Order: sequence, then C-alpha cells, then structure tokens
Amino acid sequence: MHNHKSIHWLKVEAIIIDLIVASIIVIGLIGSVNLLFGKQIKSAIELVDMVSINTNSNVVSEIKFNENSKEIAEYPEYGSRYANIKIESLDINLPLYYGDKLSILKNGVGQSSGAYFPGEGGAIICMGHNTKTFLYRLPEIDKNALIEIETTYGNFEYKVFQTKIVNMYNVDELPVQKDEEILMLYTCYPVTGLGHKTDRFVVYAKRVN
Amino acid sequence: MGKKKRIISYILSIFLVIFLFITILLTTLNCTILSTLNVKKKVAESNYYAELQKIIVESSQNYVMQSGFDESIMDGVVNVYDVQYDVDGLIDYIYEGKEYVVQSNMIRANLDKNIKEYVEANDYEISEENQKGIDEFENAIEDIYKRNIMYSEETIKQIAHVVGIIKKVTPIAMIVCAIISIVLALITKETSSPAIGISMLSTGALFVFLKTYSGTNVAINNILLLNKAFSNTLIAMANQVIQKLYTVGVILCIAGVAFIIYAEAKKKVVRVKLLEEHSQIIR
Repeated sequence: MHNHKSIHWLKVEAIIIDLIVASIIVIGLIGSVNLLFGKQIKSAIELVDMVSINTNSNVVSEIKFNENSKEIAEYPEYGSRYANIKIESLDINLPLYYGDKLSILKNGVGQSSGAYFPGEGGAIICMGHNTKTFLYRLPEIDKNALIEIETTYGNFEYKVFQTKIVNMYNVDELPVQKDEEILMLYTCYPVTGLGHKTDRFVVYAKRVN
Repeated sequence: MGKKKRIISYILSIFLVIFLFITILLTTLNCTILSTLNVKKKVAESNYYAELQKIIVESSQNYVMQSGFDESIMDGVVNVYDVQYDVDGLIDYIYEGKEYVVQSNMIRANLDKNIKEYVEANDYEISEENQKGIDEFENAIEDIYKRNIMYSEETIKQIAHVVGIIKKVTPIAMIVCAIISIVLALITKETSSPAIGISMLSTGALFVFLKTYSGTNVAINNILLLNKAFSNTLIAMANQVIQKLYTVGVILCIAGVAFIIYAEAKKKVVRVKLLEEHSQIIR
C-alpha cells in the first residue's frame, strides 16, 4: 500500500518534471531567438506597423483652433467634410472635404492633406472636378473676386490676385509654405472638349479676413 | 535512468523541437501561401476580383469626370471576369512561372467602342486636338487597369523570381527536416520515451506563443498595402497561416501532455513489476 502510494507520487513528480523541462525548453528557445534575431523581428514588426492603419486613432467631430497661435489642436478625420467653399460671383457653393482622394472629389472640393488648413497661416491647396456641378465656371473668375471658406471653427475670406494655367506635373506652381496664407484652388483645364486634360486652371487668393 | 542519459535526452528534445517546428512551419507555408490553388481560393474568398474591379472603375472616375464624357463611358469596359482572368494569370506567373500579359488592350477596345458610340449619339465633331485628348484618355484608363492588376512589372518579376526559388527549396528543406525529426524522435525514444512528449509539448507551446505574440504585437488586421482589396487578401492569408499553426500547436500540446502521462505511467508500471518480482524472490 505504502509502495503504491509512493509510486503514484513518483509518477506525478516525473510528469511535473517533464512539464517543467518543456517550459524551460520553450522559454530557452524563445530567449535564444530573441537574442539572435531580436533586431530583425523588431524591424519586421515595425515594417508591418508602417503599412498598417491605426484603427484606434482619435477622430474628432469638432476642430479645435487657437486663433492666437494659429494652430489647430485636433484635425478632422481624413475624408470628412469640415467646411464650405463659396465664390459668390460665380454662384459656386460647394462642400469642402479634408483629403483629395477620388472618392472625396466625387462629393465636392477636396483639400490636400499635404498643405495647411484655413487660419493656419500657410498654403491651402484645394481642388475639384471641372464638371458643371463643381468648378466648371472657375476659369471665369475675376481678379479681386472673393472666395469664402466657412469652417466649423470660423469663416475665412480670400481675395484672388492671380490665375494661371499650369501643367498637371508642374507641382512647383503649387508651393507649400507657411509664410503667407494663400489659397490655391484648381480644376482640370480646359473645362470643355473631350479626352484627357493635362492642364490645370489655378486660382491664387490671399487671405483678407 | 541515469543523470547523463537524462541530460542527453533533454538535449535531443531541444533539437527535436527545433526540427519539428521548422517541418511544421514549412509544411504549413507550403500548403497555404506557397500553394497556387490555395492563393486563388483565398483571393476569391476575400472578393478580390470584384473589389479590384470596383477600384479600377473608381480610379478611372477621376479621368472620366474631367474628360467631358458621362460616367456611362466606363459601362462594361472593365468587368469582373476580365479582372479574374488577369489576376489568375498573374498568380500563375508568380507561382508557376507561366507566361502572362495583362489583357489591357481588350479594355482599351471596350472603351474605344463606348467612346465611338458616345460621339455618334451626341453628334460631336472630333477635332485633331480632341482626338489627341481621347487617345490620352484611353492611355490613362489602360494604364490604370495595368497598374491596378500588376502594380509594378519590375516588382512582380522580382517577386516571381523569389517565389520560384522558395518553391524549389521549401519541399527539399521540408523533407530533410522531417527525416531529421523522425531520426531524432527514434533516438530520443530509445533514450527516454517521455522526451518525445516533452518535444511535442514544447513545439506546440511555441506555435501557441507565436499566435499570442503576433496577435498582441503585430497589427496584421490593420495592414493597408496598395489597396483595400489587396490588403484584405493579404490579411486573410496571414491569418490563415497563423490559425493553422495555432491549431497544430494546440493539438501538439494536448498530444504532448498525453504522451508524457502515458510514457511516465508505462515506465512506472515496469518499475512496479520489477519491484514485485524482486520482493517475491526475497521471500
């Protein structure tokens, strides 16, 4: 009886030792891999993170703007409508979206995410299609015409000082700077005719209000 | 069992774990991301063809909206079957090395037909400048189709080259590792039978750890590469590999524990029998 009990305990003890050995092997191998390939694994994870989108990013429904420092504390979600762009002289009143993806441009005017927001004191780059429902009449704009941007954090007014026809690949004509608040609004040109349009009609306007 | 023998059995277990791990990993990769049939199945399951067709049409909208044509100009130009034909051809090129050319001229022919019908219906007179614009428009649409199907010809060539090498090397490496695993298992069994259970349990635990680690440290489900359709397919394939390895891991863990219990129990029964025989002799 005593023998059987001790043998039973011996069995349990042996199984426990085996399980401990298995755990040590696992921990040892993970540690070794980490020691030998830790850097490479970290780089691979960083690479995946680089091509991942953060689904937990803070999305704001309202933009917080500081008038004194000319800074936006929280930017709107990419693709969201945050303003209206108005050119009264041309009877244009269109929604303004943050972003310039094709799906955005189907709904209104898009604002390039690579430039600044109204009020920030830098270059604002906006674009829209040249169809009748969007910026078809933009080439008719006069010098000194006013362009209004009504945002959720304030209204901004710009006066046209120049218009230009530029090639679509000539990005130098749309300089991104933070010295002066200049709105650059463009559409494909010519607005009539069939086929692919490689030129852009650009309106340059300075902030006046 | 002597101390020396036990240490040898543990060292053999470590090697067995490594080779078992590699064998299972290579087998899983061979059956999933390296299998042409499986890739095509995953591509179809993740609705890649339809999603890509949608992306091509949406990408073309930018050109359509500035071209002076109606949106209907793209009607029937790019259909899911053409996309499926081209994507499958591309997969065959990457995995099987079969010759492949994107059928973009067909897309151009479809678009050309629509443009001619549109011009006729609207009674447009096409000037030389307009014709140039139309040709450029057709080039742009053809280019969009080509780019969306194969992204970059040079990159695809490089990928096909690398996949070709991996596909040649993997089965050989798999067989070699499997043979080494079997030999190690036989030697380990001779030294100490529970050591095989220890190896199975350790290998299984490593696969379970792999899933837990990748789940917490790698944002696999958020991958956004090239476009949504491609990303979804990539995510589905990565998850398939991880899930398969996890399943094998769990099975190995259970089998390993069962094997350890069985082997230890069997070992002790022999010991009990010997003890009983020994006590009878003394009597």
